[in-house]
Amino acid sequence: MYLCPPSIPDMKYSKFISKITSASLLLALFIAVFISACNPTQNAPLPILGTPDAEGNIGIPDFQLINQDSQVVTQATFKNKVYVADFFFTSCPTICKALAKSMHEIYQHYEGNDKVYLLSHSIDYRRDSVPRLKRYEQRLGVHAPNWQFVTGKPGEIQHLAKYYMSRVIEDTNAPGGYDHSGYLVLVDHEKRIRAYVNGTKIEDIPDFIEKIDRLLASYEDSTK
Amino acid sequence: MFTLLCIILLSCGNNAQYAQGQELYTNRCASCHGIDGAGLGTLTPPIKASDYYLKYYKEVPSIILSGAKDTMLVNGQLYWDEMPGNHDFSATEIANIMNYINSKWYPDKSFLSPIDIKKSLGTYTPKDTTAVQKD
Repeated sequence: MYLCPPSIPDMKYSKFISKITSASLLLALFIAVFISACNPTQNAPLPILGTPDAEGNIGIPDFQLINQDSQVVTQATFKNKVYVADFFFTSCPTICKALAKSMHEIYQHYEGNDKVYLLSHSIDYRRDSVPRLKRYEQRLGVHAPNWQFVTGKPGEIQHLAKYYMSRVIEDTNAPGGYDHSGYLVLVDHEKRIRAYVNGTKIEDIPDFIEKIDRLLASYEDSTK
Repeated sequence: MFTLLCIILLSCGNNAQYAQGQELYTNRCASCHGIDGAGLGTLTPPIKASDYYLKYYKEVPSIILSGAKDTMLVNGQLYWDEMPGNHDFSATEIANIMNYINSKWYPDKSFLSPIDIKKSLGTYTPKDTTAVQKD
């Protein structure tokens, strides 16, 4: 027995095609909306990081430190600026050079921009005197106030480190006498941590710079 | 079609000629010498456009493997910080790194095989360390 294949009348066929077309258009629109919603936009605010204390305060407490030019550095030094903080010591035989290289990339990127400062805390108050910090600055070929190298009273930097979600431990078994974490921490105008990056991963620095830009842009928007 | 897509995707992620060397350089060298090879102030010498690299080319594999403790004179600038060794590197890995460095900054240099690297290992001699003010 021979069966003739059912023929689709022209009208039905064109309706079918138009249905497919509109469905695919709708799908494309849906995908486009979905992608744009998923894509981290330039305007998405950075999260506020850290743990509030018993009074519910969050952020870096007041400090008084001395920089490479023997100038006092306090929260007032960073008024209306965002800054990137790290912890190092000049005789560090391990990760500090990598941290310095990462900080240097950020320094070069924002050279001449007074809205972004860098703050490197020496964790070695015994050896890192002011002249030694000055020498380190000269060896890096950088300048205050955009990049401050600071020292403080015994225990002060260690105390501050906790608020920067960093760890600094005096350890005679560690190379150079100190064990410390290598994060670069971004602090906003309100002294709150907004982003951090592993300073030994130089390939991650462009992404971190993009976050600094986003934070800067959020202040520009608010002043408009 | 699927195969074509796969090829395109693979070639996008891995278009460098010396991909392993690039990865090793990024993970083990760039944190001090920079992805751009420019070094860091007077703390770390540059790798690109370095007269030292060209002058002591045969000794470079030994420096990568065992490090260097003496003062180096690079492009007229003294560097006295110790370079740590990478004692876990194989001759193949050193060849990959150097081929990557050469492809990027010294395109005139010819391809190095692991055998070339093995021949050069152990040739490093500390240079004349002129008195330099260290801190």
